[in-house]
Amino acid sequence: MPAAEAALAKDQIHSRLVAFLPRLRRFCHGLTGNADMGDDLLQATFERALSRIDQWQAGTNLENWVYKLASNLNIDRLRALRVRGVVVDIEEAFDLAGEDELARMEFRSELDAVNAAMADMPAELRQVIAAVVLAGQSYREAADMMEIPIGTVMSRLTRARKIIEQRVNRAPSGTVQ
Amino acid sequence: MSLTPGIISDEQIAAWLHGGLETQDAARIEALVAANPALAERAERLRHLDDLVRRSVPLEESLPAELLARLGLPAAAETPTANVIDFATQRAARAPARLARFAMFTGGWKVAAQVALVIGLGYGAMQVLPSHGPSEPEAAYRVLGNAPDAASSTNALVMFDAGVKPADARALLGRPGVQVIGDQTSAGAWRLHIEPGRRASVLAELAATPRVRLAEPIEASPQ
Repeated sequence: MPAAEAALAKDQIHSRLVAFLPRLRRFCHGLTGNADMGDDLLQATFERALSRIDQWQAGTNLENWVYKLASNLNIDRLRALRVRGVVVDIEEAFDLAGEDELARMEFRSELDAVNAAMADMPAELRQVIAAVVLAGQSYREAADMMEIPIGTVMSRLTRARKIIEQRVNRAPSGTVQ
Repeated sequence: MSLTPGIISDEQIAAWLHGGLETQDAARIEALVAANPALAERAERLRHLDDLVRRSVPLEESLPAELLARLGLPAAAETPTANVIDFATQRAARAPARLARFAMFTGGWKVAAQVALVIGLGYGAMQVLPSHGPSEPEAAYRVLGNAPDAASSTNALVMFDAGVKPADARALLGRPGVQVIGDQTSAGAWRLHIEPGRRASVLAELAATPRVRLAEPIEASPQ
């Protein structure tokens, strides 16, 4: 490819990445369950995407490639925290809250309950919610990104949704503020 | 995925809502949900939970200036190619469209009014308007700003899955009453002018076509 064409192509890819940032930011917030950490992850992902753009294969989905970068960076972050001795729940079993614990839960609204559920749930469940519900990926795309079978995507979605529902049931019905 | 006769799990209902089932299984779930108010209620509950998740992490139209500065980018006002669409909400909106056929849900579906996804279509910003219910008689998007002349007659947008070549895209778009406006945008969208009387049916056909990722009406911005 002539240099001018290559430069143009790179410029167009950069424009696509920039245009994609709002959706990527939402995905990063969902992955981390936290706005500040989400923005840090967004920054790291954007920088990595720019530095490794030559590794993206034209003809494949650019956005899914970036989602995978973000997902991998988030896993790296969680592993680093674990090495430092901070408890990280990515591989841990996670049980639904018991009745006693539920009785102590109070939420101002359904959205408040969802936020609490997203923050509480294991990272692996948050990851699949972020991919399918927030990013709108298909089960196949989510499975490819996380390198897990589609059946695991489905079962994780179900577990995540149960955690969310359990907390939403503790909130005043129909409230979002 | 094979369905267990007589037993429909949350997993299966969710897969149906997300469009993750094969055609035959999807049809079977749809029939069961249509015939069983308890299943329909459960499907609506799962859809509501997904909607809450999307609302809990709202999609902003642009990034804050401070964050743009961290990324080494100019302020949003200096990046006029922004266009607003949300694939997650669009994908989700297809499920309510199915559920909305059932009489018990005649109250209408709230299809993601807070949408905001920048995809860089290359000709002015698009604003997502509130949904108008299951029949969706009006366009969900409007072109804003100073659109070039070529785009002014655009009244629909179509995007294909990655890997669909331009020639194939044009072939798929080649239908009576459909005019392709210009070339594919840098974001991969195709702008169309569809004869108004045919727009709804053409877009419905396109939306049901394999490899079509998005097929939506748009309107010129009100003056």
